[in-house]
Amino acid sequence: MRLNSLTKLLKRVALPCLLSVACLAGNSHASDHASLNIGMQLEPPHLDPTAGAAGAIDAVTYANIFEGLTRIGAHGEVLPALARSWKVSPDGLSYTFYLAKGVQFHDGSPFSADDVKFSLDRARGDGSTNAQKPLFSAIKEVVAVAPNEVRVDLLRQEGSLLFNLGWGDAVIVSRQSAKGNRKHPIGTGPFQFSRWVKGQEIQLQRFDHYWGSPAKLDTVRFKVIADPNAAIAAVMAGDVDAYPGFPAPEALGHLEADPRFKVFAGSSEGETILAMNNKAGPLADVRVRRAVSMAIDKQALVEGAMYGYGTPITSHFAPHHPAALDLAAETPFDVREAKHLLKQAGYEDGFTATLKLPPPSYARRGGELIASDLSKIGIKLKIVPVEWAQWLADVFKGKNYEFTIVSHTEPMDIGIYARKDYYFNYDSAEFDGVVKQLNAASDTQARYSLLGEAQRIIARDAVNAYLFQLANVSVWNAKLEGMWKDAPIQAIDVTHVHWQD
Amino acid sequence: MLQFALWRIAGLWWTLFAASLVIFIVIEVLPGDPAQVMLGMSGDAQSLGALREQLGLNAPVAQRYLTWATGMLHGDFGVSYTYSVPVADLLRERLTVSLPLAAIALALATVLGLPLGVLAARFRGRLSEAGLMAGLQVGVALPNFWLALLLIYVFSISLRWLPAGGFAGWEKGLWAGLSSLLLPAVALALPQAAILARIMRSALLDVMHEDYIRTARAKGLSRQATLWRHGVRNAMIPVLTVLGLQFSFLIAGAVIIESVFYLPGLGRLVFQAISQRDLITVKSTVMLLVTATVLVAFFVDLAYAAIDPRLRKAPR
Amino acid sequence: MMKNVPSEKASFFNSRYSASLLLGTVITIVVVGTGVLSFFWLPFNVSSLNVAQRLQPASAQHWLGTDQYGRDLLSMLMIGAQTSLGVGLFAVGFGMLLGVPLGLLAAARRGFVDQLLMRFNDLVFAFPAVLSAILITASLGPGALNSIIAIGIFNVPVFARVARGGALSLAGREFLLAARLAGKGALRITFEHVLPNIASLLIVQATIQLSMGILAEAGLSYLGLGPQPPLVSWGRMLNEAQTLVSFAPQLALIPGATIVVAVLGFNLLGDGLRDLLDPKLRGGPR
Repeated sequence: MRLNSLTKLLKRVALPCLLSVACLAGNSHASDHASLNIGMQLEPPHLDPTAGAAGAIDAVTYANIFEGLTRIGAHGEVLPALARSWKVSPDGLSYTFYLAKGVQFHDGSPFSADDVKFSLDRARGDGSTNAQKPLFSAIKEVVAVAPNEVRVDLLRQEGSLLFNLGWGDAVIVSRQSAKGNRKHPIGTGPFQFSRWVKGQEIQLQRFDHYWGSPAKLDTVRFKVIADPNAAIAAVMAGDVDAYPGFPAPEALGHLEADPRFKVFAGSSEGETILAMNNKAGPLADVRVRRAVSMAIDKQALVEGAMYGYGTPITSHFAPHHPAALDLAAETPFDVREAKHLLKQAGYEDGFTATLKLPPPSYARRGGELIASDLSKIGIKLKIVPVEWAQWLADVFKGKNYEFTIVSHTEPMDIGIYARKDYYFNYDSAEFDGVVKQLNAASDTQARYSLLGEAQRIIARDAVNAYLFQLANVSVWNAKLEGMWKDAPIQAIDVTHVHWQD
Repeated sequence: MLQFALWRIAGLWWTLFAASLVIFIVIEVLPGDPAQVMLGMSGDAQSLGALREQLGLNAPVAQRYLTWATGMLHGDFGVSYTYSVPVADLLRERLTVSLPLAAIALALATVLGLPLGVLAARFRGRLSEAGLMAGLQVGVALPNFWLALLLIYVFSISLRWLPAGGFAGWEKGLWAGLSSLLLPAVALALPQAAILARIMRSALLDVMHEDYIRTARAKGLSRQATLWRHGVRNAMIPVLTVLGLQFSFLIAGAVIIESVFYLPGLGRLVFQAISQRDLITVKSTVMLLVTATVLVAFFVDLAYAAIDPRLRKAPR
Repeated sequence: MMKNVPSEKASFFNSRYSASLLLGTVITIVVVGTGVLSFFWLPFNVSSLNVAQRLQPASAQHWLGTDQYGRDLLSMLMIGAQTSLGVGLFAVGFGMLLGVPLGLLAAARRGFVDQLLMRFNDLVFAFPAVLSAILITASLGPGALNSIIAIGIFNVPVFARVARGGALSLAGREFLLAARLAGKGALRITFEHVLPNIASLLIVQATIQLSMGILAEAGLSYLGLGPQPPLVSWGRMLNEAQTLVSFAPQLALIPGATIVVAVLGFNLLGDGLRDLLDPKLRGGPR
């Protein structure tokens, strides 16, 4: 449009006062090589990862401020952290961890096996406010054998123990400072908390007495930029150097073409679904639910709502997982067949229903496109936008809805379909049986085939319409190195990030 | 004068009391449970109940109102559900953005608007007035957030002269803070300046009609001098009213501009607190803003009465 | 006093004021006309989305190009007028319907009722408008109807004040006394004599409030609290275009400019009408 020529004009007709402003302002943008500004969409409510479910807490603190016995790496693998090595007893019921030496907390107090025992006992104890208490359910006892040696005894075999201990909810805290971690987190990581301007930014500083290889950055600022538009402007103007989980897919094409930026589309654990209340009116009929699934053009949806950043899915399962099946044949995109199914179910003229949409843009945009798709088979959707507060109360808890769009971001969460009283209102003895076998199975092949069975059942029953897997899209400054591409857990690990020279 | 002031003070308290009731009731009606929001999708019934108790949500309505209202009288604004810090601290943080933003915007609007208004009155009947008035009409019709988008596009993204948003903070120097507030202030100020200019012009034209202006002219004072010495001074009364109204608008009504520039101001605090169901923060912040608005109106009224004795009748 | 205002200058005032009225009328007719036209005819259907066609530049087929869902932008603007003007109009109607009777009542009864109205006005004006619109839409839920209420509430005291002032200025006029002597009741006098005499005042105020309503709808929609899809409004178009402003600026520029033009039109019309109806401000030597 004309704005370009206006810009050129302004540049040429050097308005004197504005130019002097420009010279001064120029400096504030230049990134020096010791600091990093990171954009994030949600502000954490507090900064104690052992006392809250919010992903934003882990995003800031995980690996940067707090460390656990083990940690999860950029590709979802288990790596040693405070435990440099470990030994598992032959019966698999006892783990011995050998701890790193010379570790101290940010307040200067030394770290030892006692802190490990304190942290794990606190997380699994009776008064625990840990959001992921089930992670520790297999633990019988934690014993501090020596200052640098801890033994964890189990009630039963738990193949995922090392993985579980790598979660943000299992980090090691100090007895003295545990209570204050919400406001002023004190851990053992390479960065220490420096200040928090509410609603604006959280600042971390390099910790000079870190036990491992020191961080390359002096200062890291996590800037809260919730609005997608503001996120684009902040990236384009250089106000932030990296934005993991970038909220505006529409801008990515242009950012990719810009040599100042690198764009990465990694995988995420977010299955986005059109959830249906399986007990609400017409939706109680499996034919209607299948018709809904078949009327949605998922490819166009990914294109229209996510600008191509996302992968269509056919069941409630991450497509990058080795056990994932392609079940497109269960409910292929076929408007004529969808109409036919509706007619069989007795809804030849369609029906009217409401679609409640939470705030994220995948839901709001997806909702508009799906309403357009479903209108082609006669289902008229009334769109009701809701805030998360209302969504939780109304849809999730109250089950007072017909359709909603939401992304389930927990890893491996197909088991929610077996939960009684879950908001889908789905109830299948067959599915419950598969999940029961799955919980008992330990052999990988057997587990995969059971997971495949589970995927097939919910796809066949069209419990929900499975739309697409969210992409974890990050935008970085082109000169930045060492950021995570995938999001196996909700972390923004900056311990190895550095600027290219 | 004293009687008038007392009468107005009584009205002030009445308004504040009624407003506090309205705020409390509206916020009680908001759908969604703050405790559920804090626990998210993982909260079970037991911890939900415990949290509600802890937040004081289980007390009877009347008691909750009284606790809140009397607390405010003592300067206790409550503790934010979301951040678990006193709301007063949040407000103090936010005021360091909202107050300067409003002040800069108001100063810009005044510096631009008043001279333009005087010019328009002076040029009355000439073509230049028609041009000026057309410009002012467009200014009044501009949605400020749209103007803000254009400013960001030109000055931040294309020219990269000023930050696209966020607040650098005063501790990094005066310029760092000012540069983050410049574009938002311009976006807020331009439409307000157009309004001010129009008010100034019509007030001037009204005043120039009065007898004392004729007298001054008859005494041989030049048109120019009359306009400035008598006209502008007397036209200030309606202009001041509008300025008073604009100040409260700029403090609270900047929500949209604060969203565009993601500035951590008061309006944005309320907006975010509503979506997070941080009800105590919403209540207390709105009450603070209402109090500010009412107080500004009160002082403008008093100032009038001091200037113009005819306005001092007690019950209006 | 100006030195000997030349007569051609005086006529120039008059012609300019009618120019403002003329321009305002023309813009209003075009804007309202396209809004009405969109009920019967649109260049393209905007209810079905076609992602493959998205973000096309202006062409002979799509005069203003297409939006992010492949809808024809011109058709969107036309159908958007329905909602944007509709919300503004209904908000004005809401304000008039409640405000005018209140104002007239206050003027007729004075005393206690008058005081009550004043206190109500104080209360409404104590709330910064944008803020309370947000509160209202947050508790009632976003949508066209609730935006009308949120915007309309602020029109109530405005119209009450105008009606009260207008009615008071008529008090003691001969035709009112005559009507009373003829035995007409208060209600009948209000309808037959007071209302017609303050109608022009109300109409002028209505055009001004309408333009403010359009701006308010745009603001609420920008925050996502206004009318919801499938309704199209200019504010919603801006809301959806805001993230595309760097890449497809026309999507934000055009609806924004449309809002400016529409608001300008109503303001010019309002000003022109006021000048026409209020002789004090018209031409005349100063």
